[in-house]
Amino acid sequence: MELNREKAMAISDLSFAYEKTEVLSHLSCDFYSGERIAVLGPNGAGKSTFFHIISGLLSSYRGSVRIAGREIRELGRGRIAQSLALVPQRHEPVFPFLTRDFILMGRYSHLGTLGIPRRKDYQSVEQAAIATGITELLDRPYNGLSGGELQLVMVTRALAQDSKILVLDEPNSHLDFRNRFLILDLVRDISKQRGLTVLMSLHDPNDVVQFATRVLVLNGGKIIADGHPDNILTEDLLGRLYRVRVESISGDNGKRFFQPCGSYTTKSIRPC
Amino acid sequence: MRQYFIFFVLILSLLFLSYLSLNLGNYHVSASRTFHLLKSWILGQPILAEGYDDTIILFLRLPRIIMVLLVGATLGTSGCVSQGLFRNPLVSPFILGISAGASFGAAFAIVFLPKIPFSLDVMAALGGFLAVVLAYFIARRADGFVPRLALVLGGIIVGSFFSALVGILQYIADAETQLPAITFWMMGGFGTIAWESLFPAIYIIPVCLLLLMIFSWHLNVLSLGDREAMALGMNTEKWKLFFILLVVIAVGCSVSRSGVIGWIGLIVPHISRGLIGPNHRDVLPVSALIGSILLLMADDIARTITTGEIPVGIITAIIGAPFFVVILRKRERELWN
Repeated sequence: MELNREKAMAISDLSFAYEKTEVLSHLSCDFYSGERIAVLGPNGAGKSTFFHIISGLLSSYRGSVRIAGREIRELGRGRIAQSLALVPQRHEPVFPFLTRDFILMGRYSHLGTLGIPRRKDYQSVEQAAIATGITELLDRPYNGLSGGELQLVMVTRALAQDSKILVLDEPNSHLDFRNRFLILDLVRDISKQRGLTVLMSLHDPNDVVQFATRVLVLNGGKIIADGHPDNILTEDLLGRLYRVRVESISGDNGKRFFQPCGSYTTKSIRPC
Repeated sequence: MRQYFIFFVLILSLLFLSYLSLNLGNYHVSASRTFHLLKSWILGQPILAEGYDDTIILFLRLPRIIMVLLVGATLGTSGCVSQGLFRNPLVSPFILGISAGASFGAAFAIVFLPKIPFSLDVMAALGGFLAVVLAYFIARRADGFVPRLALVLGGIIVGSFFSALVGILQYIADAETQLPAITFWMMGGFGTIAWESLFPAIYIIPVCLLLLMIFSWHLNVLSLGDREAMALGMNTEKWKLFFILLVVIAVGCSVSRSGVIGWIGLIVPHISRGLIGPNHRDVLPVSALIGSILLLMADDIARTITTGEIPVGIITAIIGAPFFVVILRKRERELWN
């Protein structure tokens, strides 16, 4: 699996500043197809900015971001959307579109100038809905859905976009205990089936351990660690990153779980 | 299936109502006589007048009804486009200051260019266009991006500026002749419409509305907001400009002939969405039909309720405002959640 890996995205020396405030500085990393990369970091670490840049929403960056060998700011919006789908952090419905019509908008980059969806676009919607198990929601207005259902619909829309890279900005941050798990479980299964490269920002290190093949730890606009979650995530690193004391517990099958256990007061981390 | 049925019923009602309106008025013409006159006119047969009925039906009422239909369709459609564009169901096509700009143009023509033919129409259209262009450039950022909230704000600024200019013109206008003309124009009405005043609106408006309807699917995506539309692959700035331009041209053409007619553009999209759902592909044509129907009804009331004529803008406001309250109550959840 590790051999012959195809590069899905290449980032080198990426920096970004709002006005004078530097948000990202000199990031370099390559993402390979089939990887599930979690981006971990405290609030304000630059995760959302990073995601906006790699999704082509912010083009005033320095350095280079390449998708399939081509610089992202030189690609048109349509081409970017064909190779990368973004699930935004929040979506506020305004008009009560049918869920089917809403997911259909994921097909936008595949439509012609007239923007009229064809039969194959409706089929893509149908297939994506089967993959995420939401076919019974298709004929309901999407503004009446629960938070968990809406997030599933957002993922479905991203799948209907038929791109090789999936970017999810905090996909489970406002979901309940069950849905937090379900959405990540689903994304993992689908990415395995379809060979998608997945990038997601997560807030819970336990989610990272469970769902990612690689973790990128971002702090103060810099990558401070990059590698397999088992090797990277330690009490020490999480403690420094979030400025709390962290303990880890081993589960039945050797899985580790992290939890905060007290505020980080001195420079050293006291044992819990 | 349901969609086709709705379209069928609306088109039938529109045709029926148009015929009824042709027959309706203070000068009585029988229904069969109206039909005969209309048939002869369409087939190009010689018309034998009975009294003034050929003039009344074919040269006063017919062009007026056609204009009402065009303006109603414009207001309905562009109200829908505006609400989709600004992601806000409480927005009307006048949001970008077009009504104030057009009023200024009209008042300017009434005060300073009273002798020049068509000066009022041309100046009103130009004024409306100028207002929107100003609002657009106030909102435009250095990087070429035009945030929608800034556009709304630009519209408010430009609108209140032009309203002040209209105030100045009203102040210096001749109180016997010009002031009533300005006031009357601003209240909106079709009393002066004749065949020659239909041009060029009769060509421009259908083309604009047709283009809006053909490209209406883009509006669905645009209504999700800039960032999401961009992420889905849309060149948002190009499409925003496309829709704004078409709305401005169509509304400018309408307003320059009819004056400012409020409420239709605000209410019609709500009725349409209630009937056929929010997909802009369906809502736009339905709004055009319902806009025409409602404005035709309002105009019928305006010209028959008294022996004289009430400005139609007053009728639409008197009926529209309470009606909107009812819609708000019914659709509260959709609007505010």
